Amino acid sequence: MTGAATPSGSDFESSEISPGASLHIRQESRRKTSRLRVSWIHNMGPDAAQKCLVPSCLLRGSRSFPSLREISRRSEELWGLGIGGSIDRAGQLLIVTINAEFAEDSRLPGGEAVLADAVEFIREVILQPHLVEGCFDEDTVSSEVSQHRRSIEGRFDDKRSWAMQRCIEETCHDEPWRFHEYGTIESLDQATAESVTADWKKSIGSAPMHVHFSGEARSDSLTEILLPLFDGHDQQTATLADRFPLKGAGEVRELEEHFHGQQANLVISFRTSTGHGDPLQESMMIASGVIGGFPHSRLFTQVREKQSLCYSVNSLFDGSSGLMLVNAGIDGDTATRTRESILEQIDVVKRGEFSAEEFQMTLDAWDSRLRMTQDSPASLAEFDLVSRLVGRDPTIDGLRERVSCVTREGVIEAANRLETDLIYLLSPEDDQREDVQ
Amino acid sequence: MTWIGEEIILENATLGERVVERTHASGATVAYCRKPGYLRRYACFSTRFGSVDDRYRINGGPEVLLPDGVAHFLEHKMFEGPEEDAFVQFSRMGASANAFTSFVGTTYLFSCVDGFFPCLDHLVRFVQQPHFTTENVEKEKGIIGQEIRMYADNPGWRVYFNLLAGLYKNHPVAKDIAGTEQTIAGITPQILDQCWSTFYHPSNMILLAVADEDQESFFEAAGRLLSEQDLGPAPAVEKILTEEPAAPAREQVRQQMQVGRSKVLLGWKDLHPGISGRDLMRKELVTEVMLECIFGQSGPLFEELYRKDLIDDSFATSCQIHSDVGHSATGGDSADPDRLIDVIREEVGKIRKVGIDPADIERQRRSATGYLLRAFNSLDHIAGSYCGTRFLDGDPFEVVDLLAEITTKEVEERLQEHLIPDQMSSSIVTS
Repeated sequence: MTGAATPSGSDFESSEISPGASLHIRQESRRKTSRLRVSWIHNMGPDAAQKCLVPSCLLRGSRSFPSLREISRRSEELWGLGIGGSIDRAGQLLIVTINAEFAEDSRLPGGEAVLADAVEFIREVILQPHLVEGCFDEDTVSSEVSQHRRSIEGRFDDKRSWAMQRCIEETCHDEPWRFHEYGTIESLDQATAESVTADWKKSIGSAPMHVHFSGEARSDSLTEILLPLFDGHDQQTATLADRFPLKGAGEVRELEEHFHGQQANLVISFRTSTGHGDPLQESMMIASGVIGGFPHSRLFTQVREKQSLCYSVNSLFDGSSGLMLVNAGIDGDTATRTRESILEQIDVVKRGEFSAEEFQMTLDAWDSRLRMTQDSPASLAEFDLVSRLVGRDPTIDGLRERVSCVTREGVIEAANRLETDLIYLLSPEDDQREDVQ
Repeated sequence: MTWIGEEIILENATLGERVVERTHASGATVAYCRKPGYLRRYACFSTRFGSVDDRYRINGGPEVLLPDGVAHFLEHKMFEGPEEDAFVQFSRMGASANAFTSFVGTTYLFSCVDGFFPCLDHLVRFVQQPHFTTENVEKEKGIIGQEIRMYADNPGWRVYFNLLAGLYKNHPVAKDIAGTEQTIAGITPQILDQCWSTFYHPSNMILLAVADEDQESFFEAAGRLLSEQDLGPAPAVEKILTEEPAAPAREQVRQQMQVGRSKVLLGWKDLHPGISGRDLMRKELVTEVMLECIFGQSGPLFEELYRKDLIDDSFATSCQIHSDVGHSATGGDSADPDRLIDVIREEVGKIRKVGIDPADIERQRRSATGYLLRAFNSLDHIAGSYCGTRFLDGDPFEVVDLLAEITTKEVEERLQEHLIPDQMSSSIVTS
């Protein structure tokens, strides 16, 4: 270990194990299980699809458990240890993760213990995969390419999420926010056993790496158990891109696309010119909350409840891209009316014509949401990691403090930064098919 | 007298959970589970009125037939108060609220960090104070209509409800919980009033809190709130069950819609009239262990199907019990749904001849214990598990003892009687 444990102000106790590799431990005695998260960080780009293949291939077999079935059997023997891979993003960065959750030793019958075996199993999955002549098995890679191709194609099946992604792609056509974390099918076609193996080696050897552990075990003995997870990480040589500058909106654009279905999805993107570290960032969070973050917000009470224009409607602010998106599931015939109604509610907030109670309820709702996060080790680990990556204070209490300092005037000022960029509508074709046999 | 009968303690040492249950003089079941150290507090008020409850009579009177989707419609409308929406008051207290309607029940819930008791007051009061007007009922039809269309465009939802339509010929479980735009068009304030009076009597309800609060303060508050309104004696409601044949309604249901990935589900139908409580939980658990041994990732099928590119990691299995009927289902996204059905049909036939390895069952026992430990970290899971099992007269923690008790012979017998071609139907959604 190269770095001493630091009172970093994080909800986790953090240590730098080697340059670019950190261990974050949080003791948690309220729960019945421990959680372990091992993440590697990459730049987001069109090649994200290839990086998605690494955790998938790792979970297909290790040296001692060389097939999916044997990996699963070992997980079951370890008292149902849950293990999986995930791909997330933090702004223009891609986070590739292996997650695990397993029973606390103190909860197991007959004095059994699982912690050391569980960590050793996860270590083997990550560092000693089943390789054939030094590479992932060709059939395994080919099968995971097919699987991931379908994951990319399947994004269309969640219409709301699809419409939001299409709106971001069109809004930010030359900015890194346009990339989806699953990557593109075109880049997937370039993947080979050699390239995925090389990506794996680069990840474990030189990508920025973070391990988060939350559980009952005490950190002095625990650190020794967790350190082998960093074997093979020499030092960080991969460099992460500088933060991409935020853009403002140009002329308001409109785009309509069609699909065979019943409900239209309206998404409006707004440029906020407000990113991480901006003095108005928390004010923008609250402004978005007053507009459409909660059931007391204006979009819910006015557009849904008063005008019956939709079932789902909300707004979401992303401090990385500086975008605020409003989305609503609507009847295609009411698209113009809904759009006007949404924009009218935003103008109301810009003019400061929201009540003191609406403002206070939004502050309270955010505070409550942040405090509840402290019951969830998975959410805390995600918050900690994303905060470190985007340069935000990684403590929940720090964010609560900043939110509590937001003023009504700050919310109005933030709302007046909102510039409409793209009005996107995913609407049903006229010749709708409803073909059930 | 606030409470009647004996206090019941439900607890389990492995899970480290304990629920104290009392019966209020109004007939309501009131329960409390303490979660020390958790900041989040959770409470729910649930009624045994879900989408399958479409026919009933009171005191031997005439049969009442309800329009499809009425339980869900009622859930939406309960939030509407004479002055303001119930959501707003929760927001004022820093709480978040929600509700959901299932096949067998409707649940109203909130979670908060501070102000648990004022939120509890509001929960009990708003669920006991309906406010239905012609205007607000008509307004809701537009909102629910959009909700129905949202689910109509969701291929995962469609493949599931199409499977139910394939499995069940007469039973209302096959109908969409929200109904259709046509069936909800006929809902009136009078129908909602009638449903509320019939099914929202406290004797048909459970009030549960999972929180780090003082237990006696909770029971004192719950007792006081449930005594505020005298809703009279419980109506003698007879829910009329719909007779359902053992055979599936259709061999297959196919739907064409624009999808990125085709979806497929296979289901095996199961009837269990007259079984409840421990027997039903045991049957469910034995079925789940059997399904995991066959279709789980450590079983004989998963890796082969995955390697053949017939399934992906969305492939999953479940056993579901809805009042007097139920089914097992397996499936997910597939590149070739028809071939997947053929392969599973053939492989299940082979597995039935070979049987299940006792070592698989032992591993599943350990694995299921770990799963339960994970699940009982969640306040929402504890509440869902408690209400779900109490609705079926079961004990939510008994599953741990049952897990130790079940035998290879039982699991084997369940395989032989349940996963048979005559009880199977399938559902495909594809472009």
